[in-house]
Amino acid sequence: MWSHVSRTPKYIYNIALGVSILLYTNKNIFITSPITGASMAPTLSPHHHTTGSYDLVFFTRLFPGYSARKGEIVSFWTPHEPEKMSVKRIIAKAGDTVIVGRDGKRRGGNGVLGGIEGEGAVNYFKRGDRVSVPAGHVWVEGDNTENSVDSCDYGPISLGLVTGRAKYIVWPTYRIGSIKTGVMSKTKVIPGVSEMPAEYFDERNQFTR
Amino acid sequence: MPIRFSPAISRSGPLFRCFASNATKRNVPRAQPQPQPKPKLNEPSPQKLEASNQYPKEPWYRVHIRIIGKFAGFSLILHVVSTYGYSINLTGGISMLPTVAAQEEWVLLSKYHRRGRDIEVGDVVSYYNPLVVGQMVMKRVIGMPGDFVLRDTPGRSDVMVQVPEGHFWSAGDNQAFSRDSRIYGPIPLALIRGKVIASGFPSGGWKWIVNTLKEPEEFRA
Repeated sequence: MWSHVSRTPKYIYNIALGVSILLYTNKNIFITSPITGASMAPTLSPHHHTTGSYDLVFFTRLFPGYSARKGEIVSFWTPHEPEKMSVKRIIAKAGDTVIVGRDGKRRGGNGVLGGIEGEGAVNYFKRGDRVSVPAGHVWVEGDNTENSVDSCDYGPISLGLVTGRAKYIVWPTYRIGSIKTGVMSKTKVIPGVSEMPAEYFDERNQFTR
Repeated sequence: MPIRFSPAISRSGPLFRCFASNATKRNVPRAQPQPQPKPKLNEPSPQKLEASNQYPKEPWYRVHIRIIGKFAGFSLILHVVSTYGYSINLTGGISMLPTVAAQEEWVLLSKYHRRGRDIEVGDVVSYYNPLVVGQMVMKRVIGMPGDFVLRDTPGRSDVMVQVPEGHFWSAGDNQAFSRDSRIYGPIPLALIRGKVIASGFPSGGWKWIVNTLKEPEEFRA
């Protein structure tokens, strides 16, 4: 359309359009990515720690923060390493109270809401601790609980970190199929209702953004 | 007797040939009108055919599709540039009041600094509220991983907390009316959308937003 107006060659526009379509699709619509590591062992990449084989998993990336539900496998930016993505299963939603199933090795985490209190104290989640998941957060755990770095270590994660939901295994061929949702872990969860902090309500008790 | 202007150039020359009508070419017999063939049924007339040759041969809706496609392509490129390059966003709220106005002020974000890349203490960043999905917040970075920060409003308590690995501590410039890390604790660096590098209004008044935090003179050595 603008070829008679601008001096830039048309292939530059075409390359930019192709790169944009790729980036947009992979960021906002879907992505297939390999799962490495043993943290989701029975469900995804079961033999990665022995043979090195891994699954290619199809992730939906449409509105991940709004549509993530309890029992789904989600990918998210890890809270302790900002440039690293992790894949875990949602165990509890905002408002629930989680009874932590194992001792955590603290890797960061949400201080005031999750772990630390007092003067610079570094608290670890202990087995049996009761943690209430704050508003806008979820509690994630790997299916292979003993070999995973998850919310037991860094506490509940914000839904803003969630980038996608695992839907299907697309490779290897003999493992093609949809991924089952549902809570597998033995972690006890007491359901509850999430509440925003009082500072988010005005004097007429109405929520203000 | 009609006045006749004699041409300065010869009528048979190359320059005049384009103006030559049938009347000047005396020796050439006039072109006889060709007998028009009768229009057949279900066949466009020659006038219609000639008219159709003056326009693109594709149907009208194809032109619309091409224009819409170009528009979609350009907006897609623009979207990707604003996701990974720079974007201009409208702000609102009183929490950054001395630096950014409460209403109708726009800010320029550098998306290179997304997920906390090269962020330093004192930078103004835009990030997603950890408590509200999709809500964007703009605050100043007070502490980076490992730093010790005051947990509550200055004067209320002296409790210091250490910012955990991969997190930062935020605070609004208008401390009395700001909902920041004092409410929701340290924020993952991965929630940062970008660094605010300039602000201004559509009518003007654009200024760079600089890191006002300076190293103390006595420690510089």
